[in-house]
Amino acid sequence: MTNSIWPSWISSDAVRALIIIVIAWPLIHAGARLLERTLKKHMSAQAAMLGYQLVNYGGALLLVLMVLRELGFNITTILGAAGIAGVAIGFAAQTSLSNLISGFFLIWEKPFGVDDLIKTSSTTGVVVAIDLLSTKIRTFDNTLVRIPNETLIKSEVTTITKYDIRRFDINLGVAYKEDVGRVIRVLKEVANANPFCLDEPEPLVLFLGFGDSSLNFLFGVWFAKADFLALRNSILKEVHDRFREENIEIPFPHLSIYAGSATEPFPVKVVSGQ
Amino acid sequence: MNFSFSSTIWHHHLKLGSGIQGFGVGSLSVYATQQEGDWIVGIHRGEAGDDKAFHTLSGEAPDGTAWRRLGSVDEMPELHIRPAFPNRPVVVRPEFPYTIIPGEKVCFFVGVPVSICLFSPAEVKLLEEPIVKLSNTWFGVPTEGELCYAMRTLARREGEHLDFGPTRVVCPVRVRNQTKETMMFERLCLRVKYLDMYEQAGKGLWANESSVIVRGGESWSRVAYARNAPANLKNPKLLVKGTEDPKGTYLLRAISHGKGFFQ
Repeated sequence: MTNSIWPSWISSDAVRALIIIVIAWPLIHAGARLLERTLKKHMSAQAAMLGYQLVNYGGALLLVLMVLRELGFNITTILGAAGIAGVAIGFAAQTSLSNLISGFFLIWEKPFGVDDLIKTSSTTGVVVAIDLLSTKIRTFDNTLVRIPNETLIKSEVTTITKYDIRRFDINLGVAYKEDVGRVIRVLKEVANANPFCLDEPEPLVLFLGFGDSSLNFLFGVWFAKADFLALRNSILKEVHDRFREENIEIPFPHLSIYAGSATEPFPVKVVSGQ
Repeated sequence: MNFSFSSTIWHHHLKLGSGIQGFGVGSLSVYATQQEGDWIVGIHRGEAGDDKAFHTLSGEAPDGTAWRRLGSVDEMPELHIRPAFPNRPVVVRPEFPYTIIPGEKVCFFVGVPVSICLFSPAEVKLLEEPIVKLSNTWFGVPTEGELCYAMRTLARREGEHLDFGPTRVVCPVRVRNQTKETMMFERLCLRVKYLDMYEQAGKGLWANESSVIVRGGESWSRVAYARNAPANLKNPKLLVKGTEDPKGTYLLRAISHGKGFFQ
């Protein structure tokens, strides 16, 4: 009689391996999901996702080893070979390892999280997942961009939705004939009348200086991050409408040419009938 | 339906009837009708009007009314009209900065505009619309704080004969300066979720008292909410219970004094 945990009627190695797969794989999957749900209650979404993937992939690896053992392979030999192969693979998979370690840094440092809006040098979108090797971003036109974690660690990334409030800056130019004080007053009134502009922090109106064709201003209004589109759509229209009401000119770039005197315009003579 | 308001709308119901029923206050108009067995309620914002009293509306709703379907008339033969506090904290600013000397205790009264809510007979909230649309503000520093509504107040000191009518709730606030320096009070964050709303004929709507002890420096203020109606009300009727029960005293960022808060 053989010393085995298996009933005598399960004699085939292949059947035993199949039974292990059928029982263990759903258990591993359920365990990973349970861990993910538990972590979600206490930690960030990406930490929960990482926990899920570690249990899922780790469990899958163990499962493969168990199945191989049942099929009669010598695990010690396989692991030994895997150690030697690991060194070789390590050299070959430097990029993957770098991405993996970068992924851990991203999760530990938390520059952004799942559902944050981020901007990289080439992509702006909402973070869908921070996986071990890459971060997935959904762009506004609903495409999925996969960025290797190493790239994100190495490059500049802006987390647009990190804080609950943001400032929307508008660069404005008005004609040289306009009264600077009046322009500042009108802009403040526009901000005060807009329901999406925060009362505090106060709107910023900065006289930047003298441009080629205009007096330049920076008009910055604070808003709750969820109101971005509503604010952007309304405030630009309101500034335009109010400037038109107040007869404040927004000039287009132009160049004045003078003939000899700075104060006299270039003489133009209209001759008719010639 | 035929509304007949005396001073308040808060005891009226929208009942099954024919045609369009409506009432208005300030710039807000609310219309209700029934269509294919469902309640249809419309909200319209027009020109600013008297926001201290309600009036009935007759005739068709104007263009631009935003209609929404609320549910079956069979299930809800009537809709209850109730007031509600704003759904976020309210940051009140006195018209002029208010000086409070060390150890001084002052009480002032703030009139917070209420929202109109429609409830089903089973007390399920179906609609909430503010009478006055308050602007947004932020209470805290840019990296951390709370999104609130902003309003200015005359910060009246005499509450005995105060009546803001049926559209504003009088919130008594007691502030004590426990610091060793004169305090220039500029803003106060009123966390209305802890406040109950009472009504008394001739005195309008009132909230329970909030008291703030300012401790100065980096310490947050000690804030407590009274559990009963203000003492000046005789047999007040509880109209609305606070959405959160105040449990003891809170240490909160409740008051802002001094410039440079956001720099």
